[in-house]
Amino acid sequence: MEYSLNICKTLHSDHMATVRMLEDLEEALSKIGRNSVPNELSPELTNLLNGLVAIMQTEISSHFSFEEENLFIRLEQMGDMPMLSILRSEHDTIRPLAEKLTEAIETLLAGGMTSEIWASVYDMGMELAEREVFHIQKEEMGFLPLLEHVLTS
Amino acid sequence: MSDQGPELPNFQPEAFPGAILAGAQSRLIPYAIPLRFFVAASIFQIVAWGLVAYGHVDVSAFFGGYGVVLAALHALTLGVLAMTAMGASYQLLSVATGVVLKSLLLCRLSSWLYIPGTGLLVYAMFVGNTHVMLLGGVLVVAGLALFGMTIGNVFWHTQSLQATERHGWVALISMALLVVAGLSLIVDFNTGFLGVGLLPEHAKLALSHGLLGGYGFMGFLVMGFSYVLVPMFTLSPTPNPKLAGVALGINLAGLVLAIGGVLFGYTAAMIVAAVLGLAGASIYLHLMLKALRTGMKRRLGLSFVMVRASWGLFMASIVIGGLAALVPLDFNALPLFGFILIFGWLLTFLTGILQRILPFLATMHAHKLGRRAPRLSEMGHQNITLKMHALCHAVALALVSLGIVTGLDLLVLVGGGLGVVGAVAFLWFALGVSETVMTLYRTEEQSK
Repeated sequence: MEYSLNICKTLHSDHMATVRMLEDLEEALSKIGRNSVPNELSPELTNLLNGLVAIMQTEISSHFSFEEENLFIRLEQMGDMPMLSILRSEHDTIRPLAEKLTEAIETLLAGGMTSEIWASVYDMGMELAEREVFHIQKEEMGFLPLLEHVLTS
Repeated sequence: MSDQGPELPNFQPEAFPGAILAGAQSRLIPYAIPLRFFVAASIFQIVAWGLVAYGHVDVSAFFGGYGVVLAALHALTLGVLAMTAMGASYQLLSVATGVVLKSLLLCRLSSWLYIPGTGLLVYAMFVGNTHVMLLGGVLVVAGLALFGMTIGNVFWHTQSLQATERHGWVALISMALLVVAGLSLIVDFNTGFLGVGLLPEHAKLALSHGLLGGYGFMGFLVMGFSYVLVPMFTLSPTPNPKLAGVALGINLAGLVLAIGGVLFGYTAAMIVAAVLGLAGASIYLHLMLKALRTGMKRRLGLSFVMVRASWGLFMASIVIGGLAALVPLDFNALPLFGFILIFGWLLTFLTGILQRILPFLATMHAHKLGRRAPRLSEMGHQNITLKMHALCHAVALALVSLGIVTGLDLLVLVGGGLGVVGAVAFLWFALGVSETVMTLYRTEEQSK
């Protein structure tokens, strides 16, 4: 969708970057598999994991806080919005998952490759990719069009 | 509907199909309503493939008349395709358009009439009992009438999703003509009133009934829903509504011409209809493929492998339909046409989409209960069930098609058997997802 407001454009481009990164992650993890622990991280995977940590720290964490503290509140002032409770609940699920995954990836990048760490990066990475992309789907489909409508009318 | 939540004033989700989610949770209907249709559809899918396997010696030579092949056809068309469309329409249309369903009792009543009616009709077609066939047919028609009233009311009041609404109206009109033709065909088995005076012959009306069901009722419904569901799953902009309207017009002209050609015996009209159908389908597919290209999501999973395959089968059905008009007896073109249209395009598309809708609905119900939503991929043992279904479905389609073309009944038997295995896997998936939601509701009940 084409947005006219800068705030919607910014949130949309955050979403685009996150979806791209998470789809790359999903693809990379699927190729390697949960049980075949790599001896060492390839440069591509290292870059991907570094990028993912950055995305989780900036896009997910700050993006979520910005939405909750500035946007959801404004929409909720206009009436009860069941969609926002879904989005908040998904934030509450994704945020701790992203934190745990960040810790596991940092251990991995620091040279701590073990089968347990790899398995947890795999499991949490796949879960994060699925939950966050599905969450973005809802925001792109429901929240951003609504936000643009409310702010421009 | 009592569980409708508050809405923001003046918000019409017309700019983007996915804006439907703005009020999705508040417009969820009780899970038991769509669930009964989806589970029944999954069971009828097993029945349909089972009947194909059972009647393998009759499939490639089928040119009408009651018996196992007619029963298989209706187990699929009424039991799976229309059944799925009813369950999906009741839930998705109110969410997608923002129009509240007039009455949940009508939805429930339609299921009470339609599901046993379909069972009865399929059984009666199988055993050749025309009185029971008529009883089943009347129940089915009553169920469809309630469905038509319910979703017709949604289309009447909606101000959004024009492409879907227009396709919906054409589908409902086709459905009305379809049931008149269907009931006439059943009555004709006993009375032989068709073919007298201006009335069309039984075989010609039967073929027209098939075209109305395949391309008219189900085809237009599938295309109309595609304009909402495909952008929603791929995260792409709304397909151009003007082009969607052009595709609708061309496809409708093709359908009218095809039926006219069949009823009055004009082969040239049927060929022109096929050309129009190809043109209309090409525009529709252009819009769909553009949605895939421009969507934010690139990894669309197994469901969209099936959806893409179904689009290929849609085009193939029109080409084979054109050939069947020219040379109906060569390569058993007519039975092949029916098989590719119904088991190929429509079944492949609907099972591809249903495997996305079921987990999606489950998460919405989890949110409604204030529970942490289960992961989409963890529901219904997808790693086994959906992969097995897709594989068996693909091989079954190929084997039965080959069996029809070559007249090798053994291929139809094996294909039908594999279809049963795939359909069982799909039922396992549907029950698995349902179990997740039922557990959530049971836990909620116990915690009160």
